Amino acid sequence: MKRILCLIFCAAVITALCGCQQQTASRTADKVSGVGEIMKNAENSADAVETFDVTVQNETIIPDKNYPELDYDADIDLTELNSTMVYSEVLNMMNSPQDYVGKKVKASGSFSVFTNLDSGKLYYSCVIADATACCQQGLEFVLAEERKFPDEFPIQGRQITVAGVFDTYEEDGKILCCLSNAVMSY
Amino acid sequence: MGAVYENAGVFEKLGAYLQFPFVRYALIVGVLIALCSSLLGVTLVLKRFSFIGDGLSHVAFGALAISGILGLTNDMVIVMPVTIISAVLLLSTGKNAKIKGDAAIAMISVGALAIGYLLLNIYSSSTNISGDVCTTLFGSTSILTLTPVEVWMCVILSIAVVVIYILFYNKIFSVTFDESFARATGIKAGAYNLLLAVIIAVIIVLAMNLVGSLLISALVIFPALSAMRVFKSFKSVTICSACLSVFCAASGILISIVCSTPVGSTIVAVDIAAYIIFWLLGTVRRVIR
Repeated sequence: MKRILCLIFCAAVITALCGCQQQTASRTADKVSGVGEIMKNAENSADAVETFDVTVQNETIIPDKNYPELDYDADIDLTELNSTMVYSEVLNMMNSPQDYVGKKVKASGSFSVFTNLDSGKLYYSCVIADATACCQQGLEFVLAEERKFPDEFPIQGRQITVAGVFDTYEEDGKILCCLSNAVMSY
Repeated sequence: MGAVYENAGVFEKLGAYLQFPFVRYALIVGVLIALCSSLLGVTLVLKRFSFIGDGLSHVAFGALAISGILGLTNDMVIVMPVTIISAVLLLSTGKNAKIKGDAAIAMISVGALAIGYLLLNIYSSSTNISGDVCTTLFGSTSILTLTPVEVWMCVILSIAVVVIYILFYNKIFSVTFDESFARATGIKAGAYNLLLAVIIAVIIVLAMNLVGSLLISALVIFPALSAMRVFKSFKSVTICSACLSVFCAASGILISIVCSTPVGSTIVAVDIAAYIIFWLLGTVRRVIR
């Protein structure tokens, strides 16, 4: 008898919790609109932080995982591996670059641009994520041919395939890695 | 390194992936860590300290956060001593302690995790805190990014743990089952408890690379519990636990590499599947008898 009463009580609690979801959703919706209003007010206020215009289109594209083809004879072809292997290999490249210098590397990922605020220099990179997209690692590349930014570059977030020779260089006392003499398709 | 085609068979893919040095490193280290964890797991489960792995791994996470803030290149300088001290404190609390074993573990565990995450956010030196925390907590790709130096350190420490366990097997057995009797027969139970605490701390720090902080308990508990479903003697449980843990760790790593799943979670999933199989085997065996 006690067990039956326990089961009925548990079923009642579960049913009640399920019924609460709709109310929770509406309270959440109210909060979202409330936060949205707060954000709008913050942007319009005189004390709002000035955003830095890097003349970069910042549209977000939902990746379709169909990376563009690129004909390139690579020593390390990351486009053929799954995301776990790719992320691990790229991380190993960053941790032990001396083992990869001079090797031809081909990789696919999302296009990203960074600006050195002091010098104004632009850095182009192919951002590679692991299987859960929790961790990301950028692989900088320097194109072989001169291109004008942003007209001759894809918008940020677009899927690209890039290939080049893995190399290292020093800047501001730090050793940085990049793909030199690179080619890109998007 | 040749290209691996998407349409290749599983074994062809595995063969190609094994060409990568970091995959071989992951397998070597993963197997050794699993072996060491399973050996100590039997003792911990029997002494009702199953959750010590969780507690110590959270302490190690907090220590890792501090070493990151201080900008140390070698995390082990802070992580290992802090974890060892915590292990000694937790396992040394006797029956007269004001805060009992499980409460002490919970207190230190949650406190270290919270303080570690708080410090990481306040004094961050990383551009991707969430990613670093996620990797440390769940071990998604940590085992696949080991340097040769780290691999050698893991190998040496693992061999040391196995050798110590084999050399002091009888004493560890006595202290595990009846500490009072062990003391009465002249065995220095306090010293062996201290030795166990140090070994456990070392294994926990190594195992964080394999499965992450949150899943370490699974690596310690599941093989021992699985073996206990089928075998009854301490020796047979230990041997079965070690073999099972090694098999599950190797399988988990290979499955995660081929199927592109997080390594830590995959290993724990294989451990759970093995436990279910052994539970069924044990049930069938009891029914037959």
